[in-house]
Amino acid sequence: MVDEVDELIRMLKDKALSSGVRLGILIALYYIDGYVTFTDLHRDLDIPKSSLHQHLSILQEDGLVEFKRAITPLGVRTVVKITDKGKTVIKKYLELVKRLK
Amino acid sequence: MSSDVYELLRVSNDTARRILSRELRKAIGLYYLLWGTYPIVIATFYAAAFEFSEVYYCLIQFNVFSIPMIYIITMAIATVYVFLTYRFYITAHRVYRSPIITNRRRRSGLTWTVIYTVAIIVYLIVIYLIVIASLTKSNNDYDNIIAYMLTLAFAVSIVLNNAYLFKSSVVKARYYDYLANASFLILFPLSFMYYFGDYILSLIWIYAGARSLLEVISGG
Repeated sequence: MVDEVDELIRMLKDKALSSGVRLGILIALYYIDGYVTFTDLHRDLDIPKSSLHQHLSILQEDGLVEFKRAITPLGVRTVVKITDKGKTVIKKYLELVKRLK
Repeated sequence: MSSDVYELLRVSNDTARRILSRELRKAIGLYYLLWGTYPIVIATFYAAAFEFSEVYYCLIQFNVFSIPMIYIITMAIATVYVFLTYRFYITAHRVYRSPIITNRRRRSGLTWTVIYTVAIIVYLIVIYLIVIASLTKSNNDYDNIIAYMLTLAFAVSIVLNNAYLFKSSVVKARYYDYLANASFLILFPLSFMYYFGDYILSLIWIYAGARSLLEVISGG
């Protein structure tokens, strides 16, 4: 139990995961397991575009998400997708949370 | 754990729930719209085949494993629809199984247990009646009863599946969800006798799909 708490705290000290919004985005992307447009994320979270862009840039710098322009059914949009590294991190996080519960 | 960590976990859970509830509602809307168009696609296909009588003749006459080609094409279209639905169900299932997402606002386990138990009992009774009916001497009336029971059993299984989507309470069931599922339960088993039932069902599902997407856009 103590080990798990320590491990979780250590994990959450990482810059990319030290914000609840970034961690939440990453968890949601893990479950969606596909692209989500920047516009949809902005609408869902109701935070300024600049803040969202900053959060996504930090996640991208750590290689946890891909963040690029792509063709979608609604036209060319900026889309976000979780990477394999991101999936591994969230999987580990969810396992820790599950064990703690 | 320090209060900072708790706060971080709380914010992350809220953020994830907010994104997932919208994305799931969008997926449910697309699911309604997708299946709402199915009777129209089939009707268009039949009408087009009927307009060109040679094509229709070929489709009726040409059999694969004793099944007329026209039914195989209908089933192939349904398979594409099922494939498109599959991914959506997988996502909903993953969200439902999530230890952190389903933690809050979870509905009473007892309520769901009762709903599922009753539904499964009804389902088993229907299957039992189908078997009994099929073992009995078959004439037109019996054929109709068997067909009705089969489609009813199918409708019950689909509605149970749909109810599962709302079990996690990530997505709140709205009146149009109840409308779509109730209409499916009533109209689908009848639609093999009264074809217009399919089109009413189609309209209701398209309405439910449109309302779901409007909910996502308006942030309701």
